[in-house]
Amino acid sequence: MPHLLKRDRQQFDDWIQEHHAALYRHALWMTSRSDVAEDCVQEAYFQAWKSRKSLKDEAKVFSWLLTILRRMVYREYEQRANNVTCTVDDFSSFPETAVDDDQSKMLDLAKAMQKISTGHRDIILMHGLHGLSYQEISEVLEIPAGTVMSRLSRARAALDTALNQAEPEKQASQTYQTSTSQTSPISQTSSNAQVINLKTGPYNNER
Amino acid sequence: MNDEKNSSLSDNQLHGLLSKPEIPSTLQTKLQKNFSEQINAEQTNASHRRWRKGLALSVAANVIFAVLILSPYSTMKPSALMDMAYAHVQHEEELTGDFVTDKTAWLTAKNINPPPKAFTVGLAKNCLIGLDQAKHIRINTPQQNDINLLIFSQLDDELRPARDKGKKGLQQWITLAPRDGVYVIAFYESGVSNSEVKQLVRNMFQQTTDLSSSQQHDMVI
Repeated sequence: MPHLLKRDRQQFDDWIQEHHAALYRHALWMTSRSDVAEDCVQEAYFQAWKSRKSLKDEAKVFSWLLTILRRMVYREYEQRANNVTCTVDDFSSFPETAVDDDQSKMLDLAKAMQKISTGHRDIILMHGLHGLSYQEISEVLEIPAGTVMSRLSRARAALDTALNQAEPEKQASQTYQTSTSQTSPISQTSSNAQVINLKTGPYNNER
Repeated sequence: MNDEKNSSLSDNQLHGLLSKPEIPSTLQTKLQKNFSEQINAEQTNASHRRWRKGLALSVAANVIFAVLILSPYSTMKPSALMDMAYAHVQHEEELTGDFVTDKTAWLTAKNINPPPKAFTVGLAKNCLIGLDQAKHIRINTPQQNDINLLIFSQLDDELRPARDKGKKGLQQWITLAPRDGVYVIAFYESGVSNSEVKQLVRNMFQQTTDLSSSQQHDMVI
């Protein structure tokens, strides 16, 4: 038994090395906070360890870890929903100000992602970030592949709408910034922060 | 509509932006270190749980063992009675003296029916088993097997064996209560069946005469 334990630990070390970045990014995009994302990933690996016997096919380890991580993220949502109201400015790991075009787009995307439902965000990340196929997503979400396609389509439409809404806000912000030169960009961001009431909870959103 | 098209992201653009957040350089090390600590803590807890479970099982086993060891004490007296009864039967095995001149009359006087004709009464006498008075009747079956009946009256319940049948040496035994206040221990050899003994005792203690209960009591004693 000890040698099995040692082998399992080595296996998990390998999986941390291999998948931690993707899992962290998923949690970060979902929670918008690096500290929370780290906690979720840490807890996900530990929960995975405790239920390691449930992994039937090691080829699907990433989907398995992702499922556990998503559970951690939703649990985190539930806890936050009971306690706090956070703002998009809670993005502690996203740049507060855009130093280049890519970062500017990422910030816009981050804000847009926070405007769409957690379910939409989740499926966009599965497809857009992790590159999971419809079939793989259907296995993770336990829904038919056809439903995945339609849900993903709606999610992308919602994201596009959110991005389009962000565009005029950004322009207005830039106009305001030029007219009030003494205001720092950081406070600008804060003043434009959109309050997201997490009390609606992830389960009230379309998943 | 134009705005929407301008803001739409292609799959590649979306993937590029979603992959953009940098991973903290120490994240992997931190995850592995914390993971290792979590597992060690879990294993320590598991070993504590196993230890507590082992302790609980050990205590339970000891309690069960103690109960099993001590339980004979609760039935010591009945066992002692059975031992004495068996020893008495063995002691009087060869005894055939006519302690009573007419065994049939003696039995009848005690309100006990004689056995069927095919059976013979080899011995009928009063005796003492421990501190309790009893009557010892040895009956020989047609197949030449012995059935020894030790008949007690008003025997305390606590002296009676917990079981109603068993084996002692080469003899089987059963206990019967054919009448109120009458308690019989029957020893019989392997050639006799349990039901045969029960039938015999039932017949011998069947109430055939209309006697008052006080008379019955006196006679049996």
